[in-house]
Amino acid sequence: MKKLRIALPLFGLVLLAAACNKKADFNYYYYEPEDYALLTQYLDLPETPHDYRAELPKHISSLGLTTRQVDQDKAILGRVLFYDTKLSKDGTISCASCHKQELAFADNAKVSQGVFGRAGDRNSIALGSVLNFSAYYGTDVFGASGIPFFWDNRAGTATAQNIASMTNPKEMDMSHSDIVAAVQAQPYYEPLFRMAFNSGQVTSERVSEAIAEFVNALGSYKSKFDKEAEKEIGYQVYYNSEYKDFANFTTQENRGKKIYLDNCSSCHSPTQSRPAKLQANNGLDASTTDEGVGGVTKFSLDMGTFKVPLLRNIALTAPYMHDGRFQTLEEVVEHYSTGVKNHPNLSEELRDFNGAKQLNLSADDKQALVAFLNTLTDQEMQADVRFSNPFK
Amino acid sequence: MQNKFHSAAYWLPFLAISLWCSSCAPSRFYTPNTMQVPVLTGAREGTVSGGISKGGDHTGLEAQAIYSPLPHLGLMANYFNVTSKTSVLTEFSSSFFESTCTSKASFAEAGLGGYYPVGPSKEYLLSFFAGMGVGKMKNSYSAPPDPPNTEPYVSDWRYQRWFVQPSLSLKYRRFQVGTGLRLVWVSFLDGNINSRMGLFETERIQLLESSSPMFLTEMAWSLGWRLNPFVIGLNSTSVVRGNNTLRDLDLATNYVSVSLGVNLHELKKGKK
Ligand code: HEC
Ligand code: HEC
Repeated sequence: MKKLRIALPLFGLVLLAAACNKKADFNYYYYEPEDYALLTQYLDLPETPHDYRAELPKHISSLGLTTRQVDQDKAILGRVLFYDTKLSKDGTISCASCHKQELAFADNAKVSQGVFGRAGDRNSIALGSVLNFSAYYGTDVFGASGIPFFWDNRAGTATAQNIASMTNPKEMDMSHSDIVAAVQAQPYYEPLFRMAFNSGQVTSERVSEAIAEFVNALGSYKSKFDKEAEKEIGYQVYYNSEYKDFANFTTQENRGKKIYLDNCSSCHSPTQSRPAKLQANNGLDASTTDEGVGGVTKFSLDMGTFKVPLLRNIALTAPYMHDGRFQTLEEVVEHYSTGVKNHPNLSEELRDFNGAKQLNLSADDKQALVAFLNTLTDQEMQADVRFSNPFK
Repeated sequence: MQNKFHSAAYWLPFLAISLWCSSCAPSRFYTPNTMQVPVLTGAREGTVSGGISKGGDHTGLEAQAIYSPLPHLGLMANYFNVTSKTSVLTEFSSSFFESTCTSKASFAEAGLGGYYPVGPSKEYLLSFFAGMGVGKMKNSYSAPPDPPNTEPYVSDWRYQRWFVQPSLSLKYRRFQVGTGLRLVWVSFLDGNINSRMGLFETERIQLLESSSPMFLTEMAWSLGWRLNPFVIGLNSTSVVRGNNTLRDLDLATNYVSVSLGVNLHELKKGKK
């Protein structure tokens, strides 16, 4: 009996010792294992999915801008669709062909080439010029204050925009049933659709919704400009009066910022968040060569006016303007300095009593303005794997 | 004699408090089973019992057995099967949603220990048991309403629990009361966690994983009414202390069960 009395506590101790060196080994998964095995044959998708939530910097969110919710599963699917050339008539073009990540999702061609080498009508818009589409684009969520898509503002929503791109004969040239067939033919879409929409059923609306979700997730707000503005919350309040210099900007960049705030921000936005004007004519030509917004609305006052683009990553997105007429930022600045034409619809910001206002900037001012525009480049967006080509 | 009865009655309020405390702490991570407080007096005695237990949001089925092959030596075995439904606030695709989590766990353990009758007429029993058990738990989380009718997201894991339990019981006429302390170490072993059930919940499970082996102190009260050879029991088991991490997990803390037992030795006596 005595032995037992000693043995028991010992037994307990041994048990405890054994208990203490057990390590838990949990395996966290997002995709079902068999789905993941299939997906990874074609795609480079991390097992723990990318987080597509956008968190705007404070200097922007303090303006009252918020982002809409991005659906993770749809954005993951949307990314694959965005990069999939099978979504085009000749199997060579994807959204990314004209919206290249390394160029802030712009194209370096004057006008982009669509399927069968067909040339488009206008210069591609850099998706990376926009702070975040989900923050203020789309008339579906933001009503009349939502910014529409395209140079001529013809698409109200991101879904209408991408359906237009997919069906445009000069871009991807697919019919709705072509889109469905192309998607159904690829094995990797079944699990992705099931996860995004709960059924593998493919419709062109779903394709469009998923791409829109990815486009909504795109964001660029980590430029040098943002990093400085972040330290100066309230910057937007006194931009007009104080022109506070940014600590880490060079003298030249600060000078450029001041010129920008004086002459450009009334259209292009002082904070690079939401353009101050939806559309304008900036005096590229004396008479209408491309109707722009007027071609959609048929109003004479809209003739020759275009979307006011945001200028984020502008250094990466040459050539410039809706027709890609300028090759460099110096040419753009020269245009505003001496080349503004007196178009009948020339915007009032670019007019004075003589008609077209020429800023007549000095050589130093021009350089300073270009230097400021260069601070809008967001290196992180170009390298962001969440937005990169997922195909192996 | 009168005094002893009083001492038994004295315990009743504690039991009532335990009952009343039955909180709604979720039991999808860990739920204690009813602690078996031995009431043995000698070799060749044994009891088997079955019970139903209830806590905040969980219901369990229990089977328990104890047997003494030699004087002062006891063997015990407990089986526990618990089901619960908890509502979980979590975040998925940057939106919050309330998911309903259905958990099922089953657990079986065995222990070995010594018991020592004490007191003037040996009516008290001191015992000390230790043992180990294994279990598995499966949680199915209802998916967010959008997209509709999605299959629940399932996570499951296996766990191991070691215990050391000193206890004290008293037999008085047809009644028996007992109390015990159970120190447990719960080690989570391998698990498969579907992170689609949401960020917050995934983070909670990561916390659970990182706090393994997790040490808990549990306490039990039991009250039995003997109708030879049967024993009708009312038991309460609660987790009395956890560290901060465990508090964050908001583990199930309380459990009350009713059981019906058969004293095997009384059966034999009856046959004689
Ligand atoms: C062949 C080249 C090409 C392809 C392919 C293409 N785009 Fe575009 N994209 C353009 C051009 C050019 C514009 C500007 C056209 C216009 O405004 O008329 C544009 C404009 C846009 C805009 C508007 C941005 C804004 O600020 O208004 C978005 C968004 C967009 N494209 C997304 C997509 C998506 C998504 C796809 C794939 C479904 C796609 N594009 C495929 C060339 C292309
Ligand atoms: C009246 C409003 C207005 C003002 C003021 C203005 N812009 Fe513009 N800007 C526009 C419009 C509209 C476009 C697009 C025109 C087009 O393509 O037809 C544009 C285009 C641009 C582009 C090309 C964008 C691209 O993606 O191709 C740059 C760069 C630019 N502006 C810089 C400036 C600078 C620098 C200033 C100040 C010196 C300035 N803008 C002042 C309205 C304005």
